[in-house]
Amino acid sequence: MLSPHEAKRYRQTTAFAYRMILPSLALILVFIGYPLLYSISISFKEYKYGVPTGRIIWFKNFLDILTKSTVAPYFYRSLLVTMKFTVVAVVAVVVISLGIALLINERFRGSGLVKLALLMPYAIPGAVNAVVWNWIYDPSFGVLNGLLYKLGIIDEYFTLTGNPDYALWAIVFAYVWKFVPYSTFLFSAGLATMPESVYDAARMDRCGTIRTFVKITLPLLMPVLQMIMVLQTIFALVMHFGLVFVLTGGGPGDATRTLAWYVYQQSFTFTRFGRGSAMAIILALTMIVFIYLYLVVLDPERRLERQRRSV
Amino acid sequence: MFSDTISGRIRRKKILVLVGTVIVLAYTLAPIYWVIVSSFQKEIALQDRPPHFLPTPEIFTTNHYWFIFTGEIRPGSTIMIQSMYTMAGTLIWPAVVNSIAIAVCVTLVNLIVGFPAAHIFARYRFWADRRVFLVMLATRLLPSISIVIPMYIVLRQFNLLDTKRGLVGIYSAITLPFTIWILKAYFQNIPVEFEEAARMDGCSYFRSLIRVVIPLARPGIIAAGIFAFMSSYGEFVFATILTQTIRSKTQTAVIAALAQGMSSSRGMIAAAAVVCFMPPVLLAIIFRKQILEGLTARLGL
Repeated sequence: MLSPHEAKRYRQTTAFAYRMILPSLALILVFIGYPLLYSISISFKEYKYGVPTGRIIWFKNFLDILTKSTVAPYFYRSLLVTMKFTVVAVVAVVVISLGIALLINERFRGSGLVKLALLMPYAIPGAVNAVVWNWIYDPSFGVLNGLLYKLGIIDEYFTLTGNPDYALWAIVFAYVWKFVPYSTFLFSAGLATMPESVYDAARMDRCGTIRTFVKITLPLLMPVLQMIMVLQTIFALVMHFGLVFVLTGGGPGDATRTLAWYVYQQSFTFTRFGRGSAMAIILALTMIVFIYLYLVVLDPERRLERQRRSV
Repeated sequence: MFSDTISGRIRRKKILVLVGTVIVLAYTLAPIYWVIVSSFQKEIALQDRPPHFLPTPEIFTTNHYWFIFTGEIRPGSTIMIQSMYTMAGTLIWPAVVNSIAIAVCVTLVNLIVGFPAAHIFARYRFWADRRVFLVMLATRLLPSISIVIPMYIVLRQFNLLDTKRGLVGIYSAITLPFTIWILKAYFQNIPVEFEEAARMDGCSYFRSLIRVVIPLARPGIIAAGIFAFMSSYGEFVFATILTQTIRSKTQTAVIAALAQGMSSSRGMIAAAAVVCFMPPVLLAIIFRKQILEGLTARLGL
């Protein structure tokens, strides 16, 4: 129980605290909160080109997406494409970046150089990344074709982004290139906190490199690994948008039409804002699951606090 | 015998590390090397099969950059090649300037608005602290594509469509949560006694922030600023959908449109890419220490 004096002080400091976070809160509410609510309201309306005011039709947009024969099959296929992309991209990013992190943490001369090199893909803007890979994949003059041709692997130049069998993987490759550095740095920091004594003990017991990795490094790295996987999933679900935009435009056919791209198409190509918003809400809900997993279940904040107390 | 196997093992490890380093460097740098080399090659040379991997003197040119910065086509190229230089190419530099202007404003807004908020979240305990904080972080991770439609309508209401101010507002809102998160992590590392001592000496709240917190949290402030700058510089969805003319178009929007012209000069596109990625890449090289520190600070590693 607080004394009246303490209670007054508490009220004052609380009021002060709210006042200080108010500007941030206001910005976020105006530019994210309000549009988000607006988006939800549009998703309940029949809002398309020619009918801009919109009649409230409640869940019809959602029902259409899930059942109507002119959208539902495409929607499910886009889910499948998204899933394929996300799983492959996340696994590739995690495996490659863990490998590079293990290399960096050998702390040899030149590991600084590797870190510096890794900063490049990290710093390159998404659109430029897409343009760079578009040029590499170029069906007429691209360097990928050139290399394969020079090595005698192919006899004729071919299109990667125009082929439904390869297009998605071309995007995955470009995506992975850009997102590997970020998780490499996180893995590397995680590895740096490993207690040296455990490794000394392992060396005493003449534990092999692979055994040491599987039995010691991996279990100790688990919390970091989980966090990176969830975070990368959150990224992979939407951050490929620029690549799809530049490299394939969702095609050929619907080979690279991910959910994020389908939202864009519904809204801006077919100008069906209601249905597009409903789809966007579905995408957001999917992501909220992972966001919840990341922020609440894995809780990087609490981890930080725990670490601070132990120091 | 025993020492022999040990040294053999060490040597094998050294070779493995060396091979790994070469592979990683090739993997990360090859695409960048390729655009830079392409941007300095004559258009004719870029159409050779197989391509040239080095800009030898007979194919070297700076014409693509000349066109991007001056809008002039240097004499000596054929009509065919002249027609490949599209007007969009001359928009690259103004668009980069736009991007930088927007990103600088966003960074300032982030630091000015986010700084006190981060300090509050780091130091004060009140009913909403954790809840508000988590919701804020969650909004940052939501897909921007899901709010871009109403954003268009909102900007129109505020008369901010196709203006840099509109983008500054949006980008400030979406980068703010991370800025606060990073700053908060750094602030929590400052012993609270330092601030209390300043307050004892008669400093006001703001003075104690300026005199004590800012100097001690400088790496964190730099890191937060760089992240805000880089993410607004490279933002894609809003930049491509909400801008219409070069008044507000950022480098993202211009270069994405440029690359879709199938018959545009490939050398010009490559040069445009180099011009666009230079500012953030230079920043990353200059501030690499703060970036690497900041990245890990917010995961609590």
